[in-house]
Amino acid sequence: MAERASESLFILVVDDNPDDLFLIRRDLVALGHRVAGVSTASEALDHIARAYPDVLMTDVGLPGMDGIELLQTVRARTDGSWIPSLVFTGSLDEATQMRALEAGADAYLCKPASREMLHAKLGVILRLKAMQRQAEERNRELAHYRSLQEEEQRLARFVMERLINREALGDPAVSHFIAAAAEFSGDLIAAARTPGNVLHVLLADGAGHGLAASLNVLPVTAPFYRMTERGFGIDAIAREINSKVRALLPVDRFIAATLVAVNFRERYVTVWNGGNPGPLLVRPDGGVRIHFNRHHFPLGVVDDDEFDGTVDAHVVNPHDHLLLFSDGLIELEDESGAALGVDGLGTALNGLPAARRLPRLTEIVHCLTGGKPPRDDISIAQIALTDTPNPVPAAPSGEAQMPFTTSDWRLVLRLGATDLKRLDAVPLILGAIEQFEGVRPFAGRLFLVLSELFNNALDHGLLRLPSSLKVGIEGMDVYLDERSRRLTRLAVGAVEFELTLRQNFGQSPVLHIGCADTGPGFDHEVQVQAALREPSSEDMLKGHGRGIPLLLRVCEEVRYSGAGNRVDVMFRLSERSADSQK
Amino acid sequence: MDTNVSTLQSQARIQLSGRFDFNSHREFRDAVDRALSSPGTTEVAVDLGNVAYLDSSALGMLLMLRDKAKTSGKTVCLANAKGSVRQVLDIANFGKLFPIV
Repeated sequence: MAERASESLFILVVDDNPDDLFLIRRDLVALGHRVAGVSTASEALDHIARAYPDVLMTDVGLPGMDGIELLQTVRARTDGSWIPSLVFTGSLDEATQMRALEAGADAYLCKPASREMLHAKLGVILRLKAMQRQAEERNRELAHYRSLQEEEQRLARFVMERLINREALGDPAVSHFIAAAAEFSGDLIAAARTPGNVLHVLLADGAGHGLAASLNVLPVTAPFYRMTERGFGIDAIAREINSKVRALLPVDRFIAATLVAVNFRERYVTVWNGGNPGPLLVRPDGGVRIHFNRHHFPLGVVDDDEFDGTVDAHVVNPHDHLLLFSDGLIELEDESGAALGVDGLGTALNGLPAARRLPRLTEIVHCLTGGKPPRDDISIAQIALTDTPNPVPAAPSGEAQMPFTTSDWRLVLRLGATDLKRLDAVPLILGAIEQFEGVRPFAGRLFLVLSELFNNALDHGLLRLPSSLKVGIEGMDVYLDERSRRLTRLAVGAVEFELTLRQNFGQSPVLHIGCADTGPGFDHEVQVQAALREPSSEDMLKGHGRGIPLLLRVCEEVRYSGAGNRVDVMFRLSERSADSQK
Repeated sequence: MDTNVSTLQSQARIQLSGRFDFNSHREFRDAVDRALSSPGTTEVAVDLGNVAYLDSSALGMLLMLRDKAKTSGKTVCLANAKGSVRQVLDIANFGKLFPIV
């Protein structure tokens, strides 16, 4: 005697013989199933149209439409869903069996069938149904994951596009090209200017490619923008990003990065490069003037104490361009498997004016990849080194006048030799005083003033660097090299800043900035007198003596005292500090 | 990429051939586990002589190996890197992280 079935099924039985129908119904009910019995195919179709049975059992020989045509019709009408079916008949001829199987029957049964055989055949159908349910479940899960992933990718793409296409990349000096190996690029280009109008450009290449690599580069953007906005140098920014990446990403994930700073006013660039091919300085005729090939570790590989922030500085011709690129570009291979290489890149650029270089490189990428996504992400940035028209940040507009406040503060900061070596004094001070009411709109101009005061105190006051070093084509390199040598050796000495907000009723407040160093001072009277005259073209060419005229232009009062090692300036927090430059 | 791990005295040698890139993750990890678990070794040498191509994911895997080796008190060196493979290592300054022999 067969046991009761583990699962109660709703079974539609089609048989034109009432006796057979009765027997089958009795056996099925005894096995624990529910049964609906009909005697023709058309009744069965009506029934199925109202509710699908769990199993369809049909005799082959029926009046009108036979059992096999019924199966075919049911299959056609229930497109997509599956009603397990069992065919029974009195004959065992092979042709009928074949027709039944071809019509989609899942099992075949000869009449009269014992209750045990019926149970066993239904067991087969139950197993098929279970497999079917599992497959449907998996399909649903897959569809769910797929839609989840599509949604996440949409979000990720949105964020990445925002990060890459921040308005900063609209910087007129920067043009760029990115070709991604996967939907997401693990390469990122960012550009921003310091308050002193130094252009910072970052080209980062996260290990691997696709979304994971794309996520890798996220930790680099925030410090880049935030620290550039505060006027930190690229060495400090690289150091900070290195610590961030080290802390946030697993050990096998790192970021190759090139950071460059373009100082338009002083006409030099500095380069920090870790893990990317070194950038190229390209002459107006497309020839390569310099290949910067100092290689630091990529970001996130070593701890902070092993990090090397050494930058290479170079004076530039304003008509030159700087070309930054990720390794995906020079690793492009031709049909013979030979990589493009830096040499191949140089050859490709030779003779091309700046405007035609990116289009030409885009063509080369397209040609070498055959229009397919490249094997690795490719990014290229070209930076024009031409001076921008207004090196002094625009005066704050609108509510630029600092309203009368009862704000009353004084800040004194003294940095000794040890701290001068490792701290960026100007962002430090600016970061603090920006917190006070009404100071932030003047941050750009204050950055310039503080930078001039600090550089004069440190470079000329303590390090005794003569401005004359800057003269000549290699001048700035020599100057910066010498500066870093002397700074390393600096044993004693200090720079002290004193900032006081002064209020006079009815007038906009004035920021009194005093800056003193422990050096021997300089012949300030001669230099101030010289600066008050219109600068001659000769002075401009000499590339020095620019600091004092700038102070005189931005501040209401500039007063040297002592041996020339103390200077006091008055900076008015109102539009007039902008007007005075005219 | 194919891997082969052999041991000679105190050195376990992972010989790689083919393209060493993000697709090689599993093979490389298995080879590293075998090399680090072979008894009595103090050094793991990664032989790159037959590697035709190496990408940044591969550099990441080498860093992972260096980390794992360090925790079990072993050293790692890279052997026979040449041509473009050597160039990729140089660009990433890996000569300062691994002895390149």
